[in-house]
Amino acid sequence: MKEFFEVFNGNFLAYLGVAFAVIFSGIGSAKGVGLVGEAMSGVTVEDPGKFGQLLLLQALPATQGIYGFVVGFMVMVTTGMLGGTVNLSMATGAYIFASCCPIAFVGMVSGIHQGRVSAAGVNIVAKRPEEVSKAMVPAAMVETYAILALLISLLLVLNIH
Amino acid sequence: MIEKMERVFLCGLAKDSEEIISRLMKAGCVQLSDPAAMSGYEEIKDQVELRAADVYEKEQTLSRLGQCVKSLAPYGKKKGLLDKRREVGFGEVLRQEAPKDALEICRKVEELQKETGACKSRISQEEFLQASLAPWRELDLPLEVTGTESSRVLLAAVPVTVTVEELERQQQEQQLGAYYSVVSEDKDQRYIVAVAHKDNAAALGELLRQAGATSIAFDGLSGTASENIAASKERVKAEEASIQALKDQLSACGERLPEVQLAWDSTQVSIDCGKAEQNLLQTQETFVTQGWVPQRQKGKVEKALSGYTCYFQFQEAGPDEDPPVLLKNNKFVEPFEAVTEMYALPAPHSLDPNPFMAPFFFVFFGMMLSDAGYGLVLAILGLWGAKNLDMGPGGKKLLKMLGYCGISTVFWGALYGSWFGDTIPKVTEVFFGNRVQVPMLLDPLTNPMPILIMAFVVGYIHILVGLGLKAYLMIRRGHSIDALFDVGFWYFVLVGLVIFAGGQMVIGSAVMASIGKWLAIAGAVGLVLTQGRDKKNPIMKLANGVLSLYDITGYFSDLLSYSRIMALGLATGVIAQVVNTMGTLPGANIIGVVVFVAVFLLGHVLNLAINALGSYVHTSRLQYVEFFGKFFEGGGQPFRPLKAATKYVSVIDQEE
Repeated sequence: MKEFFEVFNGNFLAYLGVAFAVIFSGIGSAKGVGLVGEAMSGVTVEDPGKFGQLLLLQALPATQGIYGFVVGFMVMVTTGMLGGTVNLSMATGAYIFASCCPIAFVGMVSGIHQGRVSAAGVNIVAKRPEEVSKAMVPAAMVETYAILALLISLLLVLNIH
Repeated sequence: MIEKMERVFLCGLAKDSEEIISRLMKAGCVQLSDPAAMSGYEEIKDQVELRAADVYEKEQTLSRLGQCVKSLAPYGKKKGLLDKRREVGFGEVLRQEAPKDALEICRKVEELQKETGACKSRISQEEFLQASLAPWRELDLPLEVTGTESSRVLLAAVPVTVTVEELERQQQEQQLGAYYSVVSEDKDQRYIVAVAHKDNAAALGELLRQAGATSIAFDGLSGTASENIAASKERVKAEEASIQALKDQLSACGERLPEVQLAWDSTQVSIDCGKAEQNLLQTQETFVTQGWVPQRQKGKVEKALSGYTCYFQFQEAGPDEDPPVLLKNNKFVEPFEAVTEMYALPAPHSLDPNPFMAPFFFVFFGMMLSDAGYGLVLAILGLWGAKNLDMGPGGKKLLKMLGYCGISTVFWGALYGSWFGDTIPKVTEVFFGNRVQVPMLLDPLTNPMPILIMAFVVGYIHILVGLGLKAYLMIRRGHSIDALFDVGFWYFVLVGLVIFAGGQMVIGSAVMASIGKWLAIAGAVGLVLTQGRDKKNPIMKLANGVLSLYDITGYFSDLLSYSRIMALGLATGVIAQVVNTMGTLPGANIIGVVVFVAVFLLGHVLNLAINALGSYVHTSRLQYVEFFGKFFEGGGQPFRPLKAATKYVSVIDQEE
């Protein structure tokens, strides 16, 4: 039991938070970007000239992973994990873990769904390339929630003392 | 602003009609429209007929020329990024039958393509033959030999599941006296030669057929399989050589590509003229037509028509007519028109949102990207590109807009002290041992709240302006009372709430707080009393009025949506810092410098690309959803004047 608490301490929770932020939002973006990539290739075969516009669509669901990475990195900077070992209390660790949760979970779901919306938008580019922004705006709607989650996560993380 | 349009009626001599159309095309400010919608059409319709201009043949030519351009493109001179399109005079593209020379090249290219196709199909036939001969490569019996005087030779492919022993056993049972030899075998089939006396050949064939074999015969081939394969390979080589020769001929045509492109353009122009002529009503000697012209450009039409014997008159668009929409704005606003055009063109009798939208777009984009270094890159690339790249009007607008937004980004970035993130402090600290702090007004990382509040403030103004425009449209259409009820009372509520909150929490002034409170209450009461005004039942009137207060949640969520301005700004800054932190990890040595330069370039280019895209998309969204949602009426048809719309050349004396 004693050994368990030696490992399961504030540091562990903080590291777990960083891991969650990066893992889950990364999963979301990886899946989202992948979905668009698959849909893209069909159009690129027919008309390689549309590659640029399609790449824009593929970049849209990439942001959630970056947001998670940003939150994780900010935790590392503010707690000094980058510099080496840290010594955080259980309470601080739990606080950090909680602050990482919004971007972790919302990032994952929003990344996947933004990928699906963008993949559907590939059709718009295929048939009416001049309307590419009408494919991008619905995808931006999905991203709103990832941005809100990022905002809360970042504000919480920046308040760590 | 939405340009004022006027209808133009034109009546002239039939013999001049083609020339007049060409002259109008050069003037580039008239859009001809269906004359059947003309007033007075009913009275004359029995005496006139619609000009039937047949463009079918020209469209055929156009598609042939298009194909030819496509096939020659790899061999022609490549157009560099900075090369402008070739400039030609209007006369060169107008009313030119596609030149004989260009058509000659086109025919030649088509022929070469056709021959290449034929060669390719012969090659695939040869390859098929080679594949079917391959299993018999080891057979040293010439393929034309089917037997001797008293024996027969059978070639067959037997499924691998049937063993040779099995076949042997069967033929011995029937006493056929046959001889089997396996030539080769692959994963599905075994290729065998069977020899038997000619009297038993039929029985042997039947036996093999029952075992699931297919008998194989090479009609018309002589010599062994391997000789045939070698000969076929020779033939493929010859075909490939002739494909190469055809390719060389095609490549020799490459230098004539500009001629074909010019022919494409002039054919396109002549199709456009033909289509415009379909709007002419004509008699034996005269024609009449109508169209739209921007009021500002009437003079140009007058000048263009002055040399011809014709009659024309202008007439303002009536309130129930829907003229096509042309936007005209000043130099700063014009590039932002692209944002609205991507959403929808405003309806003809509504309002051009661009002058109001542009400043907000400018500010929001800057706040979202918020890095002075990135701003400089965007401003320089955008403004330089708009000037020097030949991208067509749409691309120019977009680049110019990015350039302007870059300027705004420099401003906000400087405010936050962010130049490529914290590059300057970091580099001076790590490489020179003396951290130089960049001056800043606000530090988003240590004190993010002021920036969030600022985002809400600009958002609040954005929403109020949107509502104001809605009221303006209502008042202009004579519904001042509705404007007061639907917009005015909401202004009371929204402004009152902010004054109340400001008085209560920021300044701590009780007087101000109570002014705000009563203003908001007055607005709310007004809403309750008026929002149910189209209902008959008094209870429904009140219920609708009370329910309308629920819309406050809509305004609240609109406002919260602006928090993305701050979040995206933070994200850009933090990622830039991450890049710098990673770049400086190896420390102050020669490897450190190399790593830093590499990480700096790669990281910041990536961050700039993804965040500029994000800023563009989210700024647009704030305009489309939060702003346009309040007042915008879309659905206008774009004004498409008759002009030489060329793709490969630019026409120097085309008037705008």
